[in-house]
Amino acid sequence: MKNFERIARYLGGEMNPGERATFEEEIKVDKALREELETQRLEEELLDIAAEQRIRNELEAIQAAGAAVGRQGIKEPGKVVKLLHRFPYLAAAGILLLIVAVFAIVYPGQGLSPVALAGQEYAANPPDFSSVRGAETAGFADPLGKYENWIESGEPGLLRQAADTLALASEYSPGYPRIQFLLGHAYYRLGRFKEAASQFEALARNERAAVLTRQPAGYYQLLSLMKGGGKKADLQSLINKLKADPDHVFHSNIVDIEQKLR
Amino acid sequence: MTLTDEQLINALRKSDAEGRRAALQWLCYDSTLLEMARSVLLRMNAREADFEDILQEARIAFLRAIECGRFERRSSLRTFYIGICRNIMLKRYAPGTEPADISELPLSGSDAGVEQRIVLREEREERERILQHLFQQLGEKCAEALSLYNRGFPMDRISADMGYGQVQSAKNVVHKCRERFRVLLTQNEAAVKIIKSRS
Repeated sequence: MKNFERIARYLGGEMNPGERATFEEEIKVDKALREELETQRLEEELLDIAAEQRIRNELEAIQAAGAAVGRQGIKEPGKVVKLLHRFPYLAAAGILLLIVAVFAIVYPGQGLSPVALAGQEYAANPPDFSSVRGAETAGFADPLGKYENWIESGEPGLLRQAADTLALASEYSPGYPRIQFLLGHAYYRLGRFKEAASQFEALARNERAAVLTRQPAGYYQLLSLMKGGGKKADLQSLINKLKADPDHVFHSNIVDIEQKLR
Repeated sequence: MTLTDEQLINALRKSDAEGRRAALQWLCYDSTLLEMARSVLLRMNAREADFEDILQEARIAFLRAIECGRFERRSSLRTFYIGICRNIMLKRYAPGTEPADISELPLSGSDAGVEQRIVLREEREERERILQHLFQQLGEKCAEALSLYNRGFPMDRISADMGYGQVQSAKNVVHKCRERFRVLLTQNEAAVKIIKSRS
């Protein structure tokens, strides 16, 4: 980078005409200088793209956060969640079905490591993004919808972008449940399990979130801890907390996980 | 709360998360600004489907100009933003430019302007791939430092944003990261190919 300053002045159009002409003469005959110039030019182009991408992410985060709280205030639970609140027997039947289905899927996993067990659980119970979608999107383009798709795609570049933007959005709109839920899953799928666990933990404690959003968050927090190599004592303590609620939607899964971890 | 132009400029240039957030919200949601921009685009016969893209592209150009001090305060911020929208609009709808919808591209490929646009888009995508790869190798801290530096922020702002106690520390980090970026770039096959083809 011995000609860095000079090249920067040339690329920035800061040379006077005489200096510029001399420099261009040098470029013609000096191959090394020419290569250094083109390297620096490409460097500038790439850093320019990086700067633009960061601003774009920041704007999208503001827009996502704006959609989160802007038009309809704090989000309402989705239709399915409202229905379950109104008709508890539906929820009970659903839970029973879930228990049977999950038991059937998880049972063969006896003897698995916490990491493998968590992987199996997550595959059997992938996040239902629609359950945390609120009424704020009705009639408008849903700015968070694309992050759901990116997270579901599992493509690392998209996951990273989703995580970056949602992390910013969560700073701009702290405690918004849908962003916490999406961000937790983006981190989880990126293998950033500690950050995922911390998002889910915050969501599980978030009183703005519906119960049927908070409960799965606790379950995904447990899976994140297992995946992230959490200490046995921490896992057990969380399991105890979660299974203390007999109406937890993932109660049977949690009990099952506890047995398999022993 | 209504912010003055001076407050908005300061918020965007200084390391103040709250102020920046308010300024960005103004840029995205200020109803007067949106109305003015929309009516200009309508008058210029922009397609409704292009509005959001143009407004967003203009926001990015606007922020970059404010951040690096290119905005010379010869007009109000609103007028400045509308001017950027107008320029983007003129470029986008200039004869021979690529249609917004890829399905509108001519099948024959005889339109040189369209071909040129496609080549540019592919080049841009290739550079984004190179960048992503290099930043992965470089690490988040360096990527952040270089991005802030390239946005034209002064060192004291970079130092504050990155949580360094002293401006000199930020300078050292930027310098080292830039050197490392250069090394990685010259080891990247796709990047070397571009450099060789140009020199």
